Amino acid sequence: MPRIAFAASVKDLDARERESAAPEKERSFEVVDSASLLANVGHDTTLQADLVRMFLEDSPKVLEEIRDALARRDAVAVSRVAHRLTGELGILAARAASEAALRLETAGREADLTAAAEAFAALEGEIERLEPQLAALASGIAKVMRAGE
Amino acid sequence: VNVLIVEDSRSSAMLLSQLLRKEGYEPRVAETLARALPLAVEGWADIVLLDRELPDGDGLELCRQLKADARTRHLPVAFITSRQDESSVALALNSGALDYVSKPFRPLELLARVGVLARVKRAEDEVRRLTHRDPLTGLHNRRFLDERLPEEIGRARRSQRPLSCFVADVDRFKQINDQFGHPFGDRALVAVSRLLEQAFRSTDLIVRLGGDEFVGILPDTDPRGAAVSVKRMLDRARALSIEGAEGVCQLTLSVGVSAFQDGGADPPAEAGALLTEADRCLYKAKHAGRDRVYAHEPA
Repeated sequence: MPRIAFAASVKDLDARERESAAPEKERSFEVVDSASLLANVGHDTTLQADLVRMFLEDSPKVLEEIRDALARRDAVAVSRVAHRLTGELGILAARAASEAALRLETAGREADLTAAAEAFAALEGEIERLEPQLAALASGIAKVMRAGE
Repeated sequence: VNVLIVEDSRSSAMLLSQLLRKEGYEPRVAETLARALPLAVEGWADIVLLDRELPDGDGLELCRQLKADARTRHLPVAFITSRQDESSVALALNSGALDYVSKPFRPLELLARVGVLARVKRAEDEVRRLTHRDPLTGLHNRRFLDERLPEEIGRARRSQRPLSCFVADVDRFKQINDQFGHPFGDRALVAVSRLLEQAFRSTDLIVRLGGDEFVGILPDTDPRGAAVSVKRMLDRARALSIEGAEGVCQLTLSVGVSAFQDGGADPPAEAGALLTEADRCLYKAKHAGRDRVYAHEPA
């Protein structure tokens, strides 16, 4: 499994800048923009860890809710739960995942269940990609691991 | 400053609560519109932060509801939601919201925006105090009664809930004024006001109509219940003693109670009829010897 890059505090910005200059292949492993996440929580690392833990705890249930709603062909419920997820992934600065959730929300609102099923598959993949990085953040191991080092 | 957060996402709610608490606000989270409404109506909330998509409906509906209700119209509302399209923002602001923040929000900016809402709330409170309160006693005034009673009648009619009203006045108040002087009389009125406020629920509306005349609007209360509360209040009034350099005086009140009965008239006419009926009962209480309550029994 590839190691994941993330910054633990503002002073790691330097490291982040170097990362952004890294090749595309390496950068794509950073699924959570950790500097944005830290900014979103007002630079409160405890709050950040709490939020991440809460997300990890809740996300299986939330995905289950969406899966059920899709099975019931309940587009309104799909859109509503996806909306919640869009917000949460936005706070976590998980851009690709948040975009997938937004696609799902929109598909739900437009009652397009085919598009919703596709967006859901993408969302599940994105959340799966998030989990290792979030788990590291939740456990509070606040150090920078740079891919390829 | 109490901030009502209407948000079904646990993490968004926690993030908002923590940020606000650190800034000295008192946040409270409602996960549904149904749980949020009483916190606003019963007067707990100073500011409302609303999400759009909630398990029991759209936050827009709650915003419209708050703005249509005299009890909550003054509450500053801001939306905090991940919907960012132009029409959503316009729709929210046109529904009565003062601000619209997209998620994920920037913490410092969000707190500054909530600070603006807190300033708006303070200014609203001041305007309402100046226009709707009696300066001597701090109770609601006649202008408030004229605006609010028809709305309460409309609500009672729609919800098919009872609504009672009382008119009270201090027995032989003129004698108190003549004997002890007007400053003492004013202190007696303030003491009676505090007594009235304490004897009724916070959702009841106590008004000083003028002079020594007071009105109470009691939502969700039938005339029998109203008479029981009024009797308890009369007991407490008898135990009240107004003291000053001018002397010591005891006082009593006479009260008339009337109940809203849907007569199909428009709310302002019904309001007039309700007060007239309570007045008539007050007159009977006076003539029967004062220090008592007369309630109009609906047919």
